[in-house]
Amino acid sequence: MHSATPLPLRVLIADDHPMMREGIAASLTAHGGIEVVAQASDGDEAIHLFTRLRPDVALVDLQMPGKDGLEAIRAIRSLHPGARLVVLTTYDGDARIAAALKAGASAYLLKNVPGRQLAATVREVHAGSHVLPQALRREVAIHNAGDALSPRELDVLRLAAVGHSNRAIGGQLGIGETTVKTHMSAILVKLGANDRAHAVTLAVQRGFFDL
Amino acid sequence: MDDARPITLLIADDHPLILAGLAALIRTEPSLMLVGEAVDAVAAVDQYLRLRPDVMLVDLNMPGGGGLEAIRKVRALVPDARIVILTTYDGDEDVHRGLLAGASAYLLKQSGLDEVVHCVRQVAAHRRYLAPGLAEKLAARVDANRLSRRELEILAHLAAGLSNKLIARTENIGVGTVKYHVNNILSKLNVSCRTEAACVAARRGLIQPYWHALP
Repeated sequence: MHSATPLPLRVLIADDHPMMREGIAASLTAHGGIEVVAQASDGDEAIHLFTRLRPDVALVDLQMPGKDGLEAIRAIRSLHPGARLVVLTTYDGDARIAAALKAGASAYLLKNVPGRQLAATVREVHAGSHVLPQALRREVAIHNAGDALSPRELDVLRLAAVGHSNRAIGGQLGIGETTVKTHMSAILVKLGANDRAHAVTLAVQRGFFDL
Repeated sequence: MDDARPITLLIADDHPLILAGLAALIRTEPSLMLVGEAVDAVAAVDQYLRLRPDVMLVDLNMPGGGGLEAIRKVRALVPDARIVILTTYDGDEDVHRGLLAGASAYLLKQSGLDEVVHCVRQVAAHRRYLAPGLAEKLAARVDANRLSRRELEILAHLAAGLSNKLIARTENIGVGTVKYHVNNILSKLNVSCRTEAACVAARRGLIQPYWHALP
């Protein structure tokens, strides 16, 4: 088929901030060859619109009300294994980046990205590439994969963050206080934290969980 | 004020996407006119002085000293400058610091166009505006036990994982004094331990978590 202009890439935007959605749409449209086919303001709407419209690429914010971006990405990828998804978020943090890529995102960008770079990333991801800017690659590389917190350790740290003692954490999780202590020691070592308070600060910074 | 004349706006934000979004929104609103954009705090002050817009919208987290610094500088040079903070941070301490620096209004980036327009009109008419929910947070803060400057410093050390002994050495005070402050901090924040204090501090904007410092 020979057409003068190729069909524009069809893009879905999922972000709970109207100003950001508007900016993404304006920037992508300005760089040509990209058409914004729909905007979603939460995870559920993103899943619904993706299924209905089958865009070439979806841009997904991580922090959204209801189903968050990570859940939306997992759901979309399980329904449509070939879906091309780009995370566009305010927050870095190696654990957050790793979780997004594992969930099935092809690219991870911060919201201070220039419009031109965003448009270029959409095209690359559509062509099948994975895109991670240099600064984020460095962040992931600095923290080697070996020191990821296990789901159990995350449970322990989350409860510690809201002020529970080891005994109370043990009670909530149905494990002994000694086991909690063992987990906590492992957490401190893995994060390189001096104490529990420091561990919470570091875990939030690196994106193991949000407050 | 001449009703026919649009309100002139300067936006300072280091996110090109937010700038593009606001510009697109403002273009659809005939009562507003965008006259300038700045991507850091230094440019924000320069542009303000050069363009003298009716209202300036400022992001808090920008390179070159940050939004608060830009607000203070502009207000020192132009005492009746009308400035709106536009940010993602909604902790009571963030709001308090912003208003203290001289902002007339505090908007969150999740606001829709209607709210932005309403806020800008209020501020242009020399009134003040707070995004929904923020007034309540500020009110709650009056009841809450305010932390002293000293306690905030110690809280920051605590969240960074310093022991009482190390805090004492860093601040050049006795360990007993540190313990005394830490106990007061726990009771003022209504938390049961240091770990929870670090968590509450980050959530309320009492300490600057690391993403505040992103370039």
